[in-house]
Amino acid sequence: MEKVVSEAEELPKAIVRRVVKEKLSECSPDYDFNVHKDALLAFSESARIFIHYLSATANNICKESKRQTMNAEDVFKALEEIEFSEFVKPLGASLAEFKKKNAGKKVDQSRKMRRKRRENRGFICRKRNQNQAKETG
Amino acid sequence: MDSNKQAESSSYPPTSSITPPPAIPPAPFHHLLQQQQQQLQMFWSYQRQEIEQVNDFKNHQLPLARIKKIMKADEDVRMISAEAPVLFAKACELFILELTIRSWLHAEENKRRTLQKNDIAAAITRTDIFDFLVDIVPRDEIKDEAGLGGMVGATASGVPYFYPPMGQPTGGPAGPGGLMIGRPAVDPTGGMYAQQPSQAWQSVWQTAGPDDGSYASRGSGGQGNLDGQG
Repeated sequence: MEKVVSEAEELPKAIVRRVVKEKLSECSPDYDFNVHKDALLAFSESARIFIHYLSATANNICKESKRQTMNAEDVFKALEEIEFSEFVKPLGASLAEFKKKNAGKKVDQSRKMRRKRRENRGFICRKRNQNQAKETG
Repeated sequence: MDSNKQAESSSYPPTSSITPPPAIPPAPFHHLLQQQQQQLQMFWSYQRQEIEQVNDFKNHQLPLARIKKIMKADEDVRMISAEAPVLFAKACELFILELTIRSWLHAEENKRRTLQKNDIAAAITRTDIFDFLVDIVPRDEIKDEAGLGGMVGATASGVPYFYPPMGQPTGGPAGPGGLMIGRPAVDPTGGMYAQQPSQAWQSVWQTAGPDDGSYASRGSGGQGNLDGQG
């Protein structure tokens, strides 16, 4: 594969490597499987193109529904369209988990934001007073 | 721990002289201890939470920001809901797993314990739904490895044709690779791969139909965007 000086973002090599190696040790638990460096690159590139492929398909579906924002439904439909329908179930589970986790987070986040804003306001007021004092002093 | 020592030293009858009593009066010390214990408890429960969170994140190991950047490299893609990168991360992981398994199969067939690029190329060639990757991992990288079970080849036009299986002993890797009767003079660019283990693959090829048709029809939306990328 040519080395492209990427304007293209790549997936982190370490993570790709871990996913591959874990699966390989599952496939052949009795002996160690190695992965050639070029093969790892091929995995990364393939995954990146998969993202593009799925993304473009989902985007088309989104636009056909006259919407601007690609959502989960679009992605699920896209998976069916590109014949990766066996991904739909595990992805659904993953999404449910993510939503559950973030339900709690959202409340925390908004509290933190309110606190931050209060602090910032206090800070700005103090700064303004300091500057005024400097100017008049 | 200190309080234990304290208790013990007071219970040791004659040797209590060896461990002098603490200079600090017991009541505030005890209070400090309680505080310390509380803090330790909090510390450990927090650590446990952290660990659990890391395990949860095993599902989204691929960084969402990076995925979003990759998606946005396609100018047609404008706004993405917050859930989308999460789905893509998981889908990517599943995809890599699929590709790994199929590549591994090819390596196993060729009695290797190192996954090579040509294993991935073979997996792509063998799997219809991986057609979108045909140009990414070039097929001319596929080496002719095993002997001469049934043989399948593809011309540059992508229409598969196949030879009847030779009366050849199966098993045994890397035969004299050049010995292929009936092979066209021009070596089709890497479309050939020999299959030893089972005749199952032959039947897959038989029903596959011309590559061109299926390739063109699938993911037509996606195909256009792939030009000039990757």
